Amino acid sequence: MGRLRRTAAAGRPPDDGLTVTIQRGDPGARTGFRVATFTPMTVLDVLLAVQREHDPSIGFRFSCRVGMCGTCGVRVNGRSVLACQTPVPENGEPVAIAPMAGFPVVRDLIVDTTPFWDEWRRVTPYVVPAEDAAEPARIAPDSPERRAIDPSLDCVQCGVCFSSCGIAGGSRTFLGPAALNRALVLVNDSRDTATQERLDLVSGPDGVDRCHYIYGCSSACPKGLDPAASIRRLRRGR
Amino acid sequence: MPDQDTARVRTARSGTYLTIRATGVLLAVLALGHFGVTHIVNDVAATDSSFVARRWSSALWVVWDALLLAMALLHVGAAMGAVVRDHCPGRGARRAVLAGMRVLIAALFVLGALTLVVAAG
Amino acid sequence: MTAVQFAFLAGLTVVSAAIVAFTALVLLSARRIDGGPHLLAVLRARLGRSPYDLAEGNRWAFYVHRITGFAVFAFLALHLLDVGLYALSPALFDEVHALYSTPLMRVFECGLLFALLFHALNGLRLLVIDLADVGARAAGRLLDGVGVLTFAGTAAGSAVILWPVFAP
Repeated sequence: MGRLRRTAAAGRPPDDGLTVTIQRGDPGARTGFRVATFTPMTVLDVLLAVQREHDPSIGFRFSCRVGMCGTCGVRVNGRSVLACQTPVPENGEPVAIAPMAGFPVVRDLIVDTTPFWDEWRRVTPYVVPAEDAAEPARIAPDSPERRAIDPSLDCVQCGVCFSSCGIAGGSRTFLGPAALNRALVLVNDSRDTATQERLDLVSGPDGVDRCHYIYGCSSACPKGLDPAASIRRLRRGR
Repeated sequence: MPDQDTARVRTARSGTYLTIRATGVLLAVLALGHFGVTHIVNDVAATDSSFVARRWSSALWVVWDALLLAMALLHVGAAMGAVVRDHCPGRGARRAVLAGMRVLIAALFVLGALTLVVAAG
Repeated sequence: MTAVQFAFLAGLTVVSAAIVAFTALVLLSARRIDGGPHLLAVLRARLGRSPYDLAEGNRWAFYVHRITGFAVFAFLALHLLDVGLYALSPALFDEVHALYSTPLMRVFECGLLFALLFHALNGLRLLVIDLADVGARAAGRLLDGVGVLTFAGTAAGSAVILWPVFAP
């Protein structure tokens, strides 16, 4: 159990706790809370504290707590983030938590991520090997292929980029930054044989032409990926 | 960047992308120049029908304005696809609006072209 | 006021209403899709260096680019109609043209200049982003340049256009 910080120094959360506002689905549900803080504290800790001590009916998703599963995406003070990776602001300013934008809301902070997965599925997001491929595939770690793929590989499909895009969340046809990033990774993979289908898809009306250079994706990615760069590289082919 | 992946990605092409960029670069010069001549260099009060007659007696300005018309409408046509797709999620609504846009653009082109042909000869 | 002048003013009203409606459409859908543009973030962004604030600047650029594009097109439709009058009869054209030098129209022209300048300069910035494979930080700096040039050009052009109103 965390220790309450008893300091009156300027810029710390007040002794009676951090002010937290949580967007709820039910109009009668409580939205304002004061949460006792400890250090270090993440937004996920705040949500768990609210659920444990204030209102057990609050709805949110989480799983691994360490930024690997991509489940806990929420909007904190307007920015889409992973709750388990976002520290509470140092200066004690209030925290407003809302569901990720661009997805239908199921309840409170839980969103339906189907739009994200629909687009993800469209780029055939796995290697399609040749029937007669030599086993095992030999690809040197320092090959040009690996150097092209490695910066874009750690996607946990959390949907934060999709939510920050500004286009993907509204349109039901734009592939979105995550799917395009994955498409680039697989297009560069020498074991894969579905390259042409993916290239046709990304150069079609739902692909890179729909990106409007907002860079919301790259600025929000909690794993430090750069989908905007992947999209530029896919466009470069022209 | 490794040559291997650029070589493979090179097969991705898009007419829309090229149209918007190519017409856009030309338009930056044509449109700003047109505005400059009609509003800045000459005060707008002076651009009456005699100004138009003088302007269109010169082949340079006729070609300039004709190119301006064509490039602008091509640019709008190509860009409108993206705008409509971002705002109209329904496939039927999208096709209807896009068709309407194409009709409007074609009508505007005919209007502008006719004006140039009749007035400038 | 003659009939054709009235028609022109009616057309101008329609164009303005269309531009306002389109702006509302874009901003309302923005609020729905990604929580909307965060105005304070943009105002801080020029001094702030956080990547999120840079994205906010780019987000605003996108909205303004789209709105100015639509505005220029709406104006173009009206402009093609009124220049088309010249082919019908130069006298009719002159009647409408007399409206162009009124103070109200001159203010519209300054707005048109802003729209043209921003859309052209931002469009060129987008081209540079693709050709030079530019990241978010550099894109933000390019946007600063676009903003400065647009402001300077609009100010200078507006001074020239509005001069006859104040010193006839």
